Amino acid sequence: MNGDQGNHNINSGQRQLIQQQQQFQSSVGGMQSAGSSTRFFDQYVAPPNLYDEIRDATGQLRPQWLGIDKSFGSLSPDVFQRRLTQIRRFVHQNGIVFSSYGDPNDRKNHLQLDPVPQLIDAATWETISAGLKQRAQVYNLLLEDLYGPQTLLSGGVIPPSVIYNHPYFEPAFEDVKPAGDRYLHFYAAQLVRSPLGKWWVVSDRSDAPGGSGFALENRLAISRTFSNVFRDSNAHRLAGYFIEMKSFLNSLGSTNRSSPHVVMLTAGTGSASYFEDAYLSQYLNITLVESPDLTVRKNRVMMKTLGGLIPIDVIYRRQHCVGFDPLEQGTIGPGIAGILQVARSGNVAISNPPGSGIVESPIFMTFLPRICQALLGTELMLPGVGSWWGGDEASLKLIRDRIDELELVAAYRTRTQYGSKIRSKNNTDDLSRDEKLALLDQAPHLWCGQERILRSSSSVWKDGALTPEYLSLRTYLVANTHKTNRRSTDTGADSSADEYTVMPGGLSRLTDTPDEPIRRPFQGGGVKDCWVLSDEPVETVSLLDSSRSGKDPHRDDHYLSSRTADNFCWLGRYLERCDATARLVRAVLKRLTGEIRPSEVRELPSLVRALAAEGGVDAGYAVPELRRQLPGLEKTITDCFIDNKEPNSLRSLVDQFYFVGTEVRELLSSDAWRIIQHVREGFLVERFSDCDLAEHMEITNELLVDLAALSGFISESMTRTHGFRFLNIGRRIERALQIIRLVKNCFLYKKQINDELLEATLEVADSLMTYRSRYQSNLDLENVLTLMLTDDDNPRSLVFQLISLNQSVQSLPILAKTETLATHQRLSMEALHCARMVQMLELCKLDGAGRHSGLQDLCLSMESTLPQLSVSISNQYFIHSGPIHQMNQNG
Amino acid sequence: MPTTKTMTYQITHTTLYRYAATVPECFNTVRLHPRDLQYQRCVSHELAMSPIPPESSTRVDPFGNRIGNFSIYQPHNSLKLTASSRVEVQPKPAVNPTNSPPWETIANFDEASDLAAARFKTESKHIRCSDAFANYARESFTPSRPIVEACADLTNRIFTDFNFSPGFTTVSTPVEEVFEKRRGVCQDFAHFQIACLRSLGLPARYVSGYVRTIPPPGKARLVGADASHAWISLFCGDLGWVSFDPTNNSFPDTDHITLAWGRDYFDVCPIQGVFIGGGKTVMEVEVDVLPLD
Repeated sequence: MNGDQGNHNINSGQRQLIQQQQQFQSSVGGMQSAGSSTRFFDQYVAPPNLYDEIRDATGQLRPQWLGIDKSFGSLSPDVFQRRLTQIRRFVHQNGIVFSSYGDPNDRKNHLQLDPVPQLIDAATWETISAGLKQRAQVYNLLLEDLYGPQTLLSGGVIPPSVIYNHPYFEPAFEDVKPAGDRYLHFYAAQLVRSPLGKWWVVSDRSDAPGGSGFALENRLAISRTFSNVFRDSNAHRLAGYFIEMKSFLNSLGSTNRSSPHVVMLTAGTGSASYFEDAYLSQYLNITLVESPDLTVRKNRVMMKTLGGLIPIDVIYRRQHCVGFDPLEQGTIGPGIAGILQVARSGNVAISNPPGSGIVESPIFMTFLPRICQALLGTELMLPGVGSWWGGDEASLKLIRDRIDELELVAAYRTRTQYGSKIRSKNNTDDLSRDEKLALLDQAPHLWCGQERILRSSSSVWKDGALTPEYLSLRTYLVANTHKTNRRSTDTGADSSADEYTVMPGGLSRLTDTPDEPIRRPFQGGGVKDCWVLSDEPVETVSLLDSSRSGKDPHRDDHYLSSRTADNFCWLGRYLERCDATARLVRAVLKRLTGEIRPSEVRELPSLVRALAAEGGVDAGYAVPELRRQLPGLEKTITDCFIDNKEPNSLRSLVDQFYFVGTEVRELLSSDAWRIIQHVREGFLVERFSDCDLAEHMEITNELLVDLAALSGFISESMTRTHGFRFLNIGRRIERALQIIRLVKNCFLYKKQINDELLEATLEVADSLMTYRSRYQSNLDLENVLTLMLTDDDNPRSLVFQLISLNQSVQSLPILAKTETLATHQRLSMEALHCARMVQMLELCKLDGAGRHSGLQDLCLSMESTLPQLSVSISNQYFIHSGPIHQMNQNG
Repeated sequence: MPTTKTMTYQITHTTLYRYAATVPECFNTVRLHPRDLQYQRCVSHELAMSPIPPESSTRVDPFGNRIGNFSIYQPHNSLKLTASSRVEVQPKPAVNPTNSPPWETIANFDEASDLAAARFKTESKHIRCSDAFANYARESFTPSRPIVEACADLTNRIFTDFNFSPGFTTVSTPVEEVFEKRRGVCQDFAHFQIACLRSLGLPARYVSGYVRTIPPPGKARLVGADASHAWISLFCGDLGWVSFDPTNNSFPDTDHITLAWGRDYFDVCPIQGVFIGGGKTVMEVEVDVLPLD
């Protein structure tokens, strides 16, 4: 099978050319800062023999760049540098990363957003956009045929084995009628521009295309930083695309209800695209869910929420289809059992429809020109890169002959371990020639050879100079709301014009070499915003408001999933646990670095004991006999501090805090998220290398300020929704427990409580200032305990926590009306009552055995009631589904 | 060919799952409804479930098998399914093995002309093609040998070379391992035979159903001692699909009752289900194939 090889052929001479490029690159270092010139691109030299986006073949600037050349050139080096910092900060704070929490190397791939956008002129874009719409239409009709009459197979256009061998062509998808009568709702294509200036599609995405959220974030970063330049540029806005997208999703559910409930299904925090999903769901104001949040009842898909199960009408699927329905696909692991049957009944719209992903496999690229002819009677306007399928004898010979030039790619794009190991390998670039040939021999029909196209070059700002890098552009399409899906005999352009909307822009990715393999997975790196220029003034569609501080409270309450509520509760707990541990750590560090020798600091053992009890340092330091055998605390405390194997070290707590933060990210305002990000950044391991104790103390101080900022933010800016209540419940339970533990560890086992210890305890409890202003007297236990435990007005007192806790608990939704109080209501009142009934004299008294038995009773009571309360809330509200098991039968 | 008259069977297929811990919800798909075929008619079929599911539905899958769906949301510690079917099976006209097309003509048939057959030529979830399988098959599939004769020979060889040993394999034991150890149960032999046939480029499908057990002379038939069974069907051009039973070395006729077919076990497994919780699970199956006359 001879694929579309187009007019772009790479001969072996182009190897040489690539080497020239590389030599060139190494020779253009060390240019001056852009600001020193009035023309921004003066210093930019285009590499030879490629299409350069900025300069034409004669070295002149292409016309669309004149504006930027002037406006960027007019910025002083200082201003330009400040703008760069601004962009970096924006990228950073928005957490624009392509990675997931839990990367063992603590590596997050922040996108390196280049300040200079890619510019595409109106005429070029018109061609690209028409071609993309046609491709989307062809893929849609192709899917319709494959899941329907299969005339392309019986008519000899595609060999039947191409489909029947497809690991993801599953019977389960065959009789699922697609929502909106269309198989392809979202489509993305990766484009590159060859040395001759022609655009080629190098890969297609039809399953759950990702990256449009990154494109949006890049746009916000660049258009805010260079707002004047952007406004003057006449570049199309992206908002229209997202508005269309939202209206399309809504339209899919409108047959069921006038205001359909749309959710965005993400693969979860473990997936590389989670940050993008969270960002996009917040921008689109669509509830973000993971598989375990959904279940099936009465032939409907339901979401598990605080208020019980509520029906879902539309699922915007951002997760691929492997294991989508464990019941019908026989998979283990997360998924939504029974969802395909609901889809079959038309009771839920899934977008993209399940099974749409099969055509994104490279094998279809080889057949697409023929498919387009057969389905539309016309040629592809925007061709795919030349490719050949090993299942065809002539093509196999060609691939073998050109094995060094072609990129060898798996014919079927696979997602997880399906079948043999070979199949799951999508990228063969690091294999030797012999290994590649061996793969071809073993199963030729599982491989395709693809032409490598040398990409176009553009400038990138690196180390204070403009140097060339190489571009590819990911573009995005969404189906239009009104459906006119007809097979037209007119030209493709006319019939596909109103079926899809193309995002005017996209995600421009930068690579170091012009022949970077197409299928190398996206792992962050350099990107550019992409501006599509208009010849006429552009319509300024306003972006959806992404800066709002919280969601509509009614919506939020109604749709808060029980998993999210649980996460809010844990966010609160970790916030307070970090705070309490950091205060202890700081108090210890302060005494280790003070003027008095640590061994002579009288209160230090008690503080260390308290820290050891929390897991902050080795428990041995709490025991005088063992302490002597251990290395000096001043030597080990810093290691304890950052040891992430110890679950309660400050660093582990910060990690946990950040993790639950990511879980509820889409429900936090961008400001709150920024603080959480900042907390995390402050604790990256690199910061701790060669740090002395004073520097550690500074890091701890920063942490405490961040946490205080977040607390302030929560109380001042967060709407009092159930989400807030669960967060508050988590915080108050944790802070109450921390106060009790502090009191216990510092006072309970002491016969003599000296002033230094009283003062240190107040310091850790953040009540020292209050104490001084209130009592202005010498320290005494009774006053200290009053302030720490029973003072209504001290936001750090036990009673204060319990009052606030009780308020939140009593305002949670009641799931089942009963005559008596629910367990969690009773427990929270009980805790408050117990603390209120305390008689301070009793607490301070030593009993016959010389112990504070009154204080001990209070501690015991709190340490039993509060955890019970936590469990009871969890039982009541957090309906979690366990892992899914498969029944299987051996016949 | 043991029987030549139309047979009527009353088939009872009971499956009991016992869970060590409570199962709050389960979702199930069953393929227990015998197919209606040219020589087979399902006269009646009933599926009884305990606990009684609040929701159930039926549909036909892309292979034409009848599927039942049901889900249970009340906490339960056991699940019992009883499928009762009455099925008539007529004798098929005998195929003369020597009077069938040379196997290469089938291996080279125009796939586009018969998509239904082409679908069973390729690898599937449980079946990989390989030279090893093809080489084993080629001892039977000698050049130009009539396809039915060749496949009957392959069936006979599998029957002879492989040991029937229950408990040695599970549903997910790879066919390669079955081949290596030469042991397994009916579904392993069926999978192996399909792998051999597809490795030669021949369309072959997996058939699930029941087989009547004939008690030894002088002994009474044991109630409930039967089991689910599996065999294969080979596409033979104009002759259509011809069935072979490698476990019993026979051409399935009126002793075999067809439930469903697909590319391999995973397309047709009688009970597919997922559940949450449950802990350790014990499954008991009882199949009774009672000839009615």
